[in-house]
Amino acid sequence: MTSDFPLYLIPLLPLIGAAINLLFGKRLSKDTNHYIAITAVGGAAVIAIHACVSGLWPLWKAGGPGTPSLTWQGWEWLHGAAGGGMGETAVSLKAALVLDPLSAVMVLVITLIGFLIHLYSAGYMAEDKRYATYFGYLNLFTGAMLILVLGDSLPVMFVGWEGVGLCSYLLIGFWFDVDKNANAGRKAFVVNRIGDFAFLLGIFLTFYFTKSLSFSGVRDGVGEITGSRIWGAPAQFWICLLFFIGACGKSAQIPLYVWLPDAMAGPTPVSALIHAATMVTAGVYMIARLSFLYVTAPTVMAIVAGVGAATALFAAIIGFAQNDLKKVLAYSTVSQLGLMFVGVGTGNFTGGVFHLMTHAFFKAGLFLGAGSVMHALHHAKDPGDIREMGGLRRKLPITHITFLIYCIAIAGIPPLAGFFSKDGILAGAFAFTAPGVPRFYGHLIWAVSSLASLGTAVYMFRLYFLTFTGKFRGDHHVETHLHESPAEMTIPLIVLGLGAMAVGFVGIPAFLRSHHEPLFVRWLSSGDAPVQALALHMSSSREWLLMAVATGAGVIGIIVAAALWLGGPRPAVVSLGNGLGPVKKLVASKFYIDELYDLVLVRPFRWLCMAVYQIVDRFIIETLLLGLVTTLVDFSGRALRLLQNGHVQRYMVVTTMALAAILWFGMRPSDEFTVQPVMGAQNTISLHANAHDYGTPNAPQRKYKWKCATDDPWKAGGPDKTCEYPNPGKYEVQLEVHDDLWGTSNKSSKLIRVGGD
Amino acid sequence: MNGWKDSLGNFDPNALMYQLPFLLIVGFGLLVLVLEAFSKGSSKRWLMWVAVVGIAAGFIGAYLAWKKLGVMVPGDAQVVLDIARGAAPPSTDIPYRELFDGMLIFDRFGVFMNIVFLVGALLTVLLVADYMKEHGFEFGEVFALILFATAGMMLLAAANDLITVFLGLETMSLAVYVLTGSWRRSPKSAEAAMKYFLMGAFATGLLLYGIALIYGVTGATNLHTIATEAPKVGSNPLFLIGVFLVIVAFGFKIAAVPFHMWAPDAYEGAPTPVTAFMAAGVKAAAFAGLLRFFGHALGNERLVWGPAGWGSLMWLLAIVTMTLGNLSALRQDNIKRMLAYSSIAHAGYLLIGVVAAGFGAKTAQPAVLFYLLAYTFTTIGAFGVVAWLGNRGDERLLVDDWAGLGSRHPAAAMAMTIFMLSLAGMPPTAGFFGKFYIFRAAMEAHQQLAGQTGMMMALVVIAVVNSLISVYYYLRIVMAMYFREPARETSPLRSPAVALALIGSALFVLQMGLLPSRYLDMATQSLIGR
Repeated sequence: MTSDFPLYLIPLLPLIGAAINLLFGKRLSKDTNHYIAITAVGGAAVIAIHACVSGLWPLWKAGGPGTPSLTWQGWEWLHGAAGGGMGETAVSLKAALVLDPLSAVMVLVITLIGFLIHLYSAGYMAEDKRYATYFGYLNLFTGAMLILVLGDSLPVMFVGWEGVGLCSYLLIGFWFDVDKNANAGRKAFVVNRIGDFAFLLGIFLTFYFTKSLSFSGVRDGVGEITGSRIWGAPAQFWICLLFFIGACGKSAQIPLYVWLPDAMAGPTPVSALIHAATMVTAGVYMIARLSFLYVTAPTVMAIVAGVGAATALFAAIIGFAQNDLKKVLAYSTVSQLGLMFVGVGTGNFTGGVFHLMTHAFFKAGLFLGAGSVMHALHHAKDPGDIREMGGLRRKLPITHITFLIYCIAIAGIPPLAGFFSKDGILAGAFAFTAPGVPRFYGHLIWAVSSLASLGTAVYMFRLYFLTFTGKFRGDHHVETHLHESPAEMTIPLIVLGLGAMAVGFVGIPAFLRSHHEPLFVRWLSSGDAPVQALALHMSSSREWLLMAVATGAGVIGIIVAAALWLGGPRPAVVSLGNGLGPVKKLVASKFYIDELYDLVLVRPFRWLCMAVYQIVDRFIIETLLLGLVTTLVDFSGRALRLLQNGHVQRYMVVTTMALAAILWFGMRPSDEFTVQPVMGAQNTISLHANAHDYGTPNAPQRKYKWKCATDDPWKAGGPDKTCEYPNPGKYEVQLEVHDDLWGTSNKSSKLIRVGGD
Repeated sequence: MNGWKDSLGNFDPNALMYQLPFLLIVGFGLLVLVLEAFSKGSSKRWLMWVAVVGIAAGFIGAYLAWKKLGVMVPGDAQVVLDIARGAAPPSTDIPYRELFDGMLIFDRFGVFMNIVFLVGALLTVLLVADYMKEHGFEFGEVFALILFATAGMMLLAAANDLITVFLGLETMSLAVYVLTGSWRRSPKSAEAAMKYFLMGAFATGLLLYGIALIYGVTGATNLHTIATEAPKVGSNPLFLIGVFLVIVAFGFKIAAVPFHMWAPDAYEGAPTPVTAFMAAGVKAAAFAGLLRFFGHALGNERLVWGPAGWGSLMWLLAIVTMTLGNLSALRQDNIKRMLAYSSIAHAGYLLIGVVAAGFGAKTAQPAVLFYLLAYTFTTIGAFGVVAWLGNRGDERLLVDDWAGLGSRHPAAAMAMTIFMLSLAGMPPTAGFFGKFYIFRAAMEAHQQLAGQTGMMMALVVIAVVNSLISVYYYLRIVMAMYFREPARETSPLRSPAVALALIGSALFVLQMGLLPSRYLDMATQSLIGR
């Protein structure tokens, strides 16, 4: 069930805001800048809510065939023909948008959280010189992200995908006068390009098989994909793998996660919006969007789940040893994204999207809280260093309370949002079965993910305890300037805190609700082309057990963290850390992955580039080609100047000579001839020359010379000729036609088979 | 009593509707001439508006004729799209109307070409008025001559008979000879006109001789009759000579190497807006004739290929024209001369389309039409900026004169950049899709040849290499405008008409580059009727 709705308004408003702020923003006051930006996103949020509540909700309620969706038909973007072995198919691509349950979740998250973060930015960035540019980029990002999730086809999605990548690059390097920030932006861009390249290849392959690019068209053409093989593997394996590599880039999974921690160089609200709540989840969204494709490729699903679990654990371990507030949160984001991939990889697409949504609330909140802390500490040398914090709970009461709520939520303590979503993913992983994937694989994924959850609870509460409890460890000057943030920053914190407490309830597991599917799952899996939902086939007791384990992991994690870090780092803990010297150093240095990439990839690539530059650019192009071209141009210039000397007589001579040459070459008589076997005679063929005569009796006639075989002499004759051969075999027949009038002649030969069959 | 009606044959007065653009342009040309003769005062600028009204009327006429000719299959745009995608067109359903015993044919191909000519005429008229005023030669006849030349082009585009081809070509050429020399006090202009006329007269002789030979062999001048006779006499040397002579004559008009030698001199000497008109309108008209006679009537694979095929000759001409045109342009410091060589090179690209059409590539005719429309906007725009920049006694034609224009006159520099990018064939401009469609048509021809020969593929490769080379000299101007310090003061023309022409061209160049399918669909509906 679909109906039309002017969905274009939703991304258009932020885009208009971006245009105004980027083009004219510097001439407007700062107040006007943020009013425009906030109103644009707020307007988009209102329209989105309206579309969902009064448009999509009734359709969903009514049920009926088809996915409930609102569409905007857009315009025909491209049309053309797709070639193939079997004729051509007309292909038409529309720039259309669609709001279905899945994109509705994303749109609401983006516009609501985006609105709060815009509001927060007005306080956080108040002192910045490039205020208008900042809000322009932020609005541009929101618009692009909305296009990404609303797009009805892979190319439209790709437009948004690239748009958010661009904004991410611009905002990471927003303070580009510091080299480190500019480099971080560049790193994010380059690493993302790798993923984007794979994504593009995936789109091409999909188009190659299905001859369609819209999601509905691809869904209808899935049969074309699953029926084909590439390099011995099913086509869907490669397509899904390429899409997943694309997702790895954008959503910071192993091995492409390295850009996200560095991306914290950008302003903190940007980290909250782009690098925690929205853009980095685009990969999860994409896989959920293509769930119909992924369920046909169980091997890739297993890879997705494996990579997700590995990333979750790996990032959690690194998170332990980081001392920068935002770096810890960044690794936590990578880790949580890994859990989302565990969700979608184990077929629990709704679970993955659910965690995406809850995570957006508490992680955005964590970043904004961190921003609030750093705002208070802005006199410190390094405002993000948690070793220089402590005891902030009295100075920053609102930030403290909300931060605690987010930490409890992310640790997975019931009944906060993170509990429901994380539990769902872990249970789904435990139950994961797929053809060709061993049974224990699901358990392994579950174990690794649970370990990662435990780690999450530990390092998040390490962060909390070190920041807010105990005594302030920084210098006195900083302490006197500590203050709670202004209202435009604390209000988003409170709203997100409420969200982190509440949103989980839309996904209460079935066995707690007398086996009613959770609202969230029913919402996403409605209609006949839903996001695939996972049906858990296990007993309630086992589910209770899993839930207890998940909760237990969170509680144990908090207790451990409290034992070690409550009230500041205990001396025993510090000495223990020192005792672990090399291990600690390894973890603190992020396992030297950046250095490894630098050694294995970046440097060889640099050498390659240098070699290409020296050989291709310097030598081949500049020396050889340019030398050649300049010589050639110089020579031809001189030669032509001789002719082009302004004397019309000379022009006439050149023209006449050219004409004469054309006529002479063109007048060579046609040398084509036809070959036919002579009926009734063995090994005999008749030849006929196609060259016409002038057609008048007195005109000079053409002369024909024939050669029946290579060794024969030339024999003069007419336009017709008969050749007899002693034996069957292959012979070369040659004809030379001569024109007396022009004195020109032409030769041709044909290899013919005589006799036999 | 019916005598007068019989003497008109089956002439149907209603059919005049098809000729509406032609008649309106001729009528307004005469009107301008009469008004000029009886007008007092030295400024003739107001005649520009008469000409503009005439051209606007011509557009309306073209629209009416377009409507009257109908789509190929009424109401079924899908068929048109299918043809664009390679399906065979329903052959009998291309509507056309032959008039005057088949001397003229009216189909949407002609109407599309009329629109191209009208665009060229309109832009030229807008440019020329203030240019003349600035340089101190104001002749009202210039507007009339532009309209008469346009009428000649329209006749050529509707010609279905070698006699009318000749008539149209000469009507156009004579008017343009005079236009070239219209800056009477400039010796360069006079020299240009003289050279152009001498070489043109030579070409006319060749054309007539060729027509005579073709008539001698086939017994017909009607294109359709020649088309049916040609396969029978295809290798008759006299027929071949006739065909070659016609190619050479058209080679003069489109300035194909080695018949291009008049072009740089004539383009440089002529008043700049007239140069633009020559580069765009005259070339487009000649290509209309080439498509009708060669691309369509002689589009028989046996006639096209082989050592004596016209396609082989055009293939060679295309390569030589592109390559020498671009190589010569590389070293020019005078912008008008550079654009002259660039225009020669573009004739080479367009010849690819004609050869592809000869092989029956369905996309070739629309591709050439699209290219001509795009090229008209682009090249007149580029010459227009040149005309805009010059002052009396100082035409500012050297690349050095353009240094720093980007900071002095950002809008004009931006427009020139758009035109240069379009000429170089870079997205998102019209020139990119023009080239792209031509190359695609050539590749379609390559596929139809089914591997018999790689010549079409070779042609495309050479053309691509050529467009790479051409980027150098186009971007040289862009570089001078943006990356060099301003050399001296500029005081360009202050003229709303010129500004209108330049802005309009730039916008169309961008629009055709961003939304090309609208124009391509229109071109695809404009196949040659019979």
